[in-house]
Amino acid sequence: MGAIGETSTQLAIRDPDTRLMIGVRDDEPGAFEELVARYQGRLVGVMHHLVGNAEEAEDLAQEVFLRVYRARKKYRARAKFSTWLFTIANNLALNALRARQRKPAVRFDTRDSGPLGARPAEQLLAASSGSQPIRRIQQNELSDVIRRALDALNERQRLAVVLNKFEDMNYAEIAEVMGLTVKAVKSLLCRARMNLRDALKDYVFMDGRPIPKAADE
Amino acid sequence: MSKQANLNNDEWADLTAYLDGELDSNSARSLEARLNRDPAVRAEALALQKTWEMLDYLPQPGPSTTFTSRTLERISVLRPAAVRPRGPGLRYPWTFGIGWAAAVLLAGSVGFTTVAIREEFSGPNSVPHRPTTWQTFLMEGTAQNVIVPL
Repeated sequence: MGAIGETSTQLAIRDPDTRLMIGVRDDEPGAFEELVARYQGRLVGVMHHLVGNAEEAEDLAQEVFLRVYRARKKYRARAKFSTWLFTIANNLALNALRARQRKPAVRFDTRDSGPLGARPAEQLLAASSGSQPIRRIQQNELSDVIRRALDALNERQRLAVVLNKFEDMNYAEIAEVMGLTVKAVKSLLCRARMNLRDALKDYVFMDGRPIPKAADE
Repeated sequence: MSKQANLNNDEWADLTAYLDGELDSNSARSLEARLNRDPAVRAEALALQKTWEMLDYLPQPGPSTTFTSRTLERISVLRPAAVRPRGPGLRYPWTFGIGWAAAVLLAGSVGFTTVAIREEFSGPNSVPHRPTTWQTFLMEGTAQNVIVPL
């Protein structure tokens, strides 16, 4: 099994995905297919949260798998496989987001009613500041508002949030994926969470629980 | 970034880390004490926590039904050039040469032996055609007699 050290061997024993990737590296039949099957859902999901577009998310996820395949011979099990995979995903997603910023494309929102009226999110914002109870907001409309709040974060904050929230990565793993210190991740996630709180403050307590007021205590 | 509670940047970072379960036990105890005595901090913690839970309302998009096949199809283009059987011959190239040399030597030996056997059993001087009767000639000189084939 190649020249992997003791740590790598321990990792391979502990992490079944690391074992699978070693199989991919050694061209074991079916190993790569199994890897794609195991990770495609998570990867497409993370990419979708990052770029906000299903088609682009799939293209990026596919590119991640291609890069994994091309780099398989250089694979050394130094960390959990998912950390390595999402490091590649992180680089690709950041490049895609930066390219988009350099050359902004007009994004067509399928729920944009155009001249027929305001977007649901705009209606939501109007509703939240008006007299209509925000409880009436449908879940898809709420997700639209949350989507916009997430999109409003800068790309690094968004990535940290997505990895922490949807991939259950701890600060150390996020730091490794993003090439940051744990302290920097802590600070990044703090700013991200505060920005989200500010963006969603009108919707946060819509489940019926009143927003607690410090003065009431 | 609004800050209603009287917290500095490090304390905000500690508060979010606490909510993420990333704070060490001493810092966590200290923060819990503050949460107990400061309603403003408690309200911020609750707002941050509820905001975080709102992300669960986001749809969890999955891959399309053709994603796997399209991905593997793209990989298959790479495979003929990139994938080679990882046998000992590739890992130790010199064994490959030795194997060939051994095969050539073996083939040569087999061929030589075959020809020798055929020579032995066919042709004018082969064993089956060698004379089976012998004649003795009286010779003059020091040699008394010579045996020659008929």
